[in-house]
Amino acid sequence: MFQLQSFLELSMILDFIVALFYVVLGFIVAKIIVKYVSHVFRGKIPQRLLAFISRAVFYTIFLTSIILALIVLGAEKYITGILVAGGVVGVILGFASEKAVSNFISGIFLLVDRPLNIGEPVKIKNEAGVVTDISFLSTKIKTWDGRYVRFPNSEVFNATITNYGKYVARRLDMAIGVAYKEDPYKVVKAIREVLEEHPYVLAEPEPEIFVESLGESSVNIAIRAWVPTPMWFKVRKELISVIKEKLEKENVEIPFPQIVVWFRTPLKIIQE
Amino acid sequence: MFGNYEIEDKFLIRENTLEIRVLKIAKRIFKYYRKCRNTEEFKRIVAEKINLGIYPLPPLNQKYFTTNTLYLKLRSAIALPPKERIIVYFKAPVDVGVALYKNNIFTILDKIPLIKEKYAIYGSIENGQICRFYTTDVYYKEPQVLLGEALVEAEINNLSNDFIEISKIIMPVAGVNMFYRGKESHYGLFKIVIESLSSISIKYVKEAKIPYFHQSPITVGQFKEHFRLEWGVS
Repeated sequence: MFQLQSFLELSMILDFIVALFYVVLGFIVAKIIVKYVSHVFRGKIPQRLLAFISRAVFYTIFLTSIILALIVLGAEKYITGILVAGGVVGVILGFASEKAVSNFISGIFLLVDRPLNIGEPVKIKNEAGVVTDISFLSTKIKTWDGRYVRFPNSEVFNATITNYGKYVARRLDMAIGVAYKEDPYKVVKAIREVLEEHPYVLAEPEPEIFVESLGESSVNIAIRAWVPTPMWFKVRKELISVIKEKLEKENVEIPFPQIVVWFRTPLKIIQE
Repeated sequence: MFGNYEIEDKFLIRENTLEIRVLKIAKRIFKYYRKCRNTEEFKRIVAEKINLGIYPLPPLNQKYFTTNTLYLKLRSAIALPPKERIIVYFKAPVDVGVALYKNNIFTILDKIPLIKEKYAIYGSIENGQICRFYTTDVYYKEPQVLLGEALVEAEINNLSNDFIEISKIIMPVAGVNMFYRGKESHYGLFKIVIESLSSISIKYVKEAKIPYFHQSPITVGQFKEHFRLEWGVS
């Protein structure tokens, strides 16, 4: 009797040691695999996504080792129950958190596809500003007038996104109307001088200045100049006033809209 | 003009549009004043005496966007036959750097662009590089340079079996050594190797010494030995 009891105790101790071994081994293997995954993907995918994948890999391996340890300790019948209950709870949670899951999946796609990054100037669904955060569930922007706008990732993923900061340079389009009496070549030359003088109007691609259309009250001159993306707004602000100044100096008239009113019968002017 | 200065009381340099002035205004307090073209700069320096270094600096822009390269557009292109080598000189823009130093520790106090800044893209709008742009002649012996310009010596080696026409030079200038002599500055030696029309590399010879020129003790930016021209040469 005593021998049987000590045999059972020894067997239990052995099971416990094996279970502990599985847990420790699972922990070590999970750590090694996470390290390897980080090493392979570092710099290739966004840091946030890498952290998520690493965590997912770690917990999957570690949880598997815990389940194995529980089976060794003879808890398989409970585990089956837990898994069935977990499945049912999973289905309920799945229905309840459909939107959250959709946002989460969209967040992963956004991190992989990278249509926008933190710090970039963007426009999403009529809201424009700088991206301040991209998490797994939402994307936040600070609008130009200082508002905080949060978009669920599923909306961002399906929306048309305009990213103003994706390329190294951006084109600045301007139109200037001058009076019909002015020589357009003189105007183009004056504007070209302004653009050549401005440090942030790129020399290449070369700026284009040309007569775009003959308007109702002015000859419209189009300006297409490339500028480094971070300087776009600053250059635009500066160019408008510098070009106006230059045209005034060159005595070029910028006309107001004019309407010629014609009367079918001559007007009678009564002088009192 | 370039060189090291020990200032105990006052200091003044005037060159064309540039004026650098240091004045002791109180015990252990100096006032630094600089005027150049339309820009002015004031600073206060706390020290018993000032060790001031004025050196040429590559014109790297780090304020609004990063520019680590120079784009030299040649007024006349160079046509180089296959298997030929040539040494030519160009002029390139350079900034005047004002540094404070003590026990071989340097800090840049001011960076003065003396000639008009202009930029251009080398490559595509999507992923090209914004470079400091300058138009230069090609010289076959060392030309005289003005303050604000620096000399570039380039050894161009056409290893390919084709004639090559070079109309622009893209030079990485981050971390390069600068050399000076009086008011003149020198970028040192660049080796341009053309293996084929699609494989062109530029190497800055970091160990090269320029006779009669002093090497500046400060370098700016991270040096990259090789630079591959991804978007061709002409």
